[in-house]
Amino acid sequence: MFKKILLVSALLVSSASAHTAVMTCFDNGDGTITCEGGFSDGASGSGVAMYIKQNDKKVSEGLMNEDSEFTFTKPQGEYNVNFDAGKGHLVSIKGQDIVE
Amino acid sequence: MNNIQVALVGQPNCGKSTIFNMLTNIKQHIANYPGVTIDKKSGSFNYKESKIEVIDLPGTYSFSSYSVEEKITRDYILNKDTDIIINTVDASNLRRNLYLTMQLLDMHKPMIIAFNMIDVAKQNGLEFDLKKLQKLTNAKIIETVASKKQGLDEIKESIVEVKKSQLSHISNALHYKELQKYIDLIKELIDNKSLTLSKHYISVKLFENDAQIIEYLKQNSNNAKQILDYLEKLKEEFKEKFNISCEQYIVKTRYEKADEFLKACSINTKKNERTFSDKIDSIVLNKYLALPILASIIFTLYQLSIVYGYELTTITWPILSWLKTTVVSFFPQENIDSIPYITQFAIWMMNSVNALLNYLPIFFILFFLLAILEDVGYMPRMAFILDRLFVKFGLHGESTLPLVLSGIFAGGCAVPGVMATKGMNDKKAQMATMLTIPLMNCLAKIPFFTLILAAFFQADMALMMFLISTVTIFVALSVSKVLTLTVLKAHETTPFIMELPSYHIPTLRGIFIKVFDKIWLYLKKIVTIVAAVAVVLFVLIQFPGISKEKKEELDNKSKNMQSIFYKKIQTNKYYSHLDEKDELKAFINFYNTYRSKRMNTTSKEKAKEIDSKYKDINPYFFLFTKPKRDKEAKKINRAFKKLLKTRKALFRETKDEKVENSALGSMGKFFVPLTQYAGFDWKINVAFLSSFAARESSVATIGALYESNKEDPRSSSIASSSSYTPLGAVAIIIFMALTPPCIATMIMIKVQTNSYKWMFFALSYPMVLGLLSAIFIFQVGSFLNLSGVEAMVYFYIFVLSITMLLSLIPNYKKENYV
Amino acid sequence: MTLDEIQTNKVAIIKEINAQGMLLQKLYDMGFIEGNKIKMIRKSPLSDPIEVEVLAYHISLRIQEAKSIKVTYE
Repeated sequence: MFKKILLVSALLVSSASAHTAVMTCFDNGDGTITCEGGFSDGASGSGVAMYIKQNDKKVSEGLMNEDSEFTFTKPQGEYNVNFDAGKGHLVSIKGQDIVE
Repeated sequence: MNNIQVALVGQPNCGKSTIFNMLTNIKQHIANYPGVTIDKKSGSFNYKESKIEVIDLPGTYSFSSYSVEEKITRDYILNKDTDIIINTVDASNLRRNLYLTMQLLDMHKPMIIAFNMIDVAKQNGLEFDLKKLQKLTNAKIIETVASKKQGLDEIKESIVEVKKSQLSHISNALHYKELQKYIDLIKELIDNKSLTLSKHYISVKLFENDAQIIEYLKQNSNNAKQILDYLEKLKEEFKEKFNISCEQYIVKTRYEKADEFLKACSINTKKNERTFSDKIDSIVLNKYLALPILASIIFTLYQLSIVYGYELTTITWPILSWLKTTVVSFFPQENIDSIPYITQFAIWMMNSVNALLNYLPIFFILFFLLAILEDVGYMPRMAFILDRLFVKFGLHGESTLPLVLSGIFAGGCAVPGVMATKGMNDKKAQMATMLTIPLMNCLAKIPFFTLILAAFFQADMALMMFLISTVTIFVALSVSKVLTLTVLKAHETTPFIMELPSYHIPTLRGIFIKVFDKIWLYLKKIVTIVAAVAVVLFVLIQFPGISKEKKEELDNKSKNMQSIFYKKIQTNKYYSHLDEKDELKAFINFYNTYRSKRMNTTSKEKAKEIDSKYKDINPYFFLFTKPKRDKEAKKINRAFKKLLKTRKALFRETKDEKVENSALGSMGKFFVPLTQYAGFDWKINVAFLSSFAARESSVATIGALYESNKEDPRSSSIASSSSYTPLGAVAIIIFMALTPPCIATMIMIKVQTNSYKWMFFALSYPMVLGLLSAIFIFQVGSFLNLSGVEAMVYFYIFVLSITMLLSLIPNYKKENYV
Repeated sequence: MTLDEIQTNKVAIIKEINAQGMLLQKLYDMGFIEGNKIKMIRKSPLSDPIEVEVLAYHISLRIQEAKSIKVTYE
């Protein structure tokens, strides 16, 4: 069922214009971080692949939920969060840039 | 103040537009000539009690009445209101430029000659006695070096002087030797009373067999038939006697006269060698190097503009985002259970406009690079190299750039693609190019393909992506061919006779003028029209809105959500700060604005600054937002986050309901009888419709139509639980790949073709084609039990074969040039 | 022979132009007149169109159009 949602979401993500993929992250202050993603034209990023990398290795991954949010536990040490909507639509944020 | 109307004429590549920029000092007005899509550039300046208006006419090699540009130029020069023509002459190529001057002399208008590029001519060892030339032509001659503003004041001065002086500035320099007495015979027959044009001009043009003048004569002269009969007789007589047709004799005489003038005024002429350009051409147009060089130029252009420009948007985007939040903040705040219409509208409009403004960095780089290529003189060479390939499909060498910009590979952008068709000479190929651009691979479709491919074709992702992004090119070529043979049949086609001008080193100023012209056109036309379209769409989606029953149901859910929240925090020591509705509403807005402010900050200082500001606004709200170690506040924070999540879900549900009930939803349902053959249900149809029209985060909303909130973090495993098969996914992908990219593209087509009819055609035929292809894939695939990848590969081969076959059909004959 | 048959870098003279209407006018305007010298510069990498020099201008035209121009070597 979720597959269908994904599919339809995808259709809408594909909406017009050169949209820049956007992601911003927010430290919830309780050891978790929430990232909101989407596109510059207001299209939601629901269903887009997310992954956390440390030393170029994926340590965890998931999908943007229907609110176009992705919450994860803050890893130890340096890391980066990636929003990957395909070639030319990739955003990466360094962990050190997400301030509490 | 008296008005003086000045028209700028000259051959292409003679530096006319730099003279125009110099005179009007960039204060220009660009419009279209009525009924055609050629830029009409005009500007004005004041000089010594006179207001001087300048029109920059299209550059032409002659004033026959065959092409639109030539007709326009001619009409403007002959117009009664045009007082003076400024004839820009390229000094480094005087012979040809004088050929055009000879034709101007026939028109009997006061003329000033701007003797341009004198610096280049000097480098080539050419010097001229301009006094002599002035005598010969009876026209004022000014030396100009437009790039250095040399000669500007002299031009202005002589405009006023020529206008004032009682002397005739009309030259009779041109004498048609043997033909002259025949011309005079016709002249005597012409009755001058009702005619605005000079007898001499009419007569010469009659001998040139000019259709427009023959028509003019029939309209305005009562003895037209007599004149035309006599003309035929004279022409035959002349041909008999001199063994050359009148038309050719006239052209020949003009060239001979031009030569005569050239000899008379040239001093110390060394042979003009195009050494510099020839050296470059021997590399750039070399049999083996031409294509690799062309490919690398195109790749660089693409890389710098689309790829780096796109990266720039991540820098410029926060500015637009700030603009949006600032504008929206002037509108009423969100309520607990709804967002006020007016605020929704503001968000909607800002999203629509921002989506377009987001292009600007890409366009800026792109237009800049294009202006360089254009001014250097590479464009005609590009056409020269690739013409053979494109002509097979009814396109033209000049179609190369527009198609590349629109996304030959990897993804481009159709808007600059359509813009780039502007300068094309062959009107038929221009239309064919413009109409096929929407089929090309638009960058914005990539995330969509990625998502679907990730879900259905994890293993064959690279192959599928390659097939999708290249299949559209073949579709575009085939469609172009078909259009050329059918709907575009009647369009004017021109012979491929193009000058390959010498290379020029462009001036920065000229380039920037071009860039800002285009950017301005984009902002003015696209953004304003899209804003208007956005209003219409907003209405289409918002109204008639949701049913009463549904509204009640949603209201109850919202009340329920709030009571759960209150139940959770009732015993909390901070309860009093949130126990009223208004407080909760205020907190929701506080929380959201704080989050959005903090979202884009990466520096610790900035974050601290925002924190302390929000602490000042409301210390308790801030505590609930960031409870740190405060246990009680933490409870509130948790309960509040739950409430927000439910609230978002409710908003989504409201939106879905709205969409389903809206005009758009009805349209989606309306098409089901047709789209079911491609495997699309009404929800998919609505998604398609709104994906073209509506750009906002209604993504997940539509998803909620499917009444499911189950989440599965790994997309690959979901493919099995979906009612959609990979085959269905291919049908959807192909449909999406062929549908037009965006409204902006459509508006651009309207701007370029100057007709809504063509715009709607460009909008509707790809949809029909896309649907037919999707149905074809789905039906044949189901019948043969094909897998998704198989279906895609077979479809690809099918399209490829059609393209090959179509390329074999000849598309025009010489007789077409009438 | 016709214009497209001139060897590269060779000069020929235009003998006759068999074209009507727009094509003819366009050729005239570009300096293709009986008696004028014309030099073959090169063929496009895909061997059509061709580039010729006439009256110090470099002009490209398709072979199909070039066929309507008869030339002879000097």
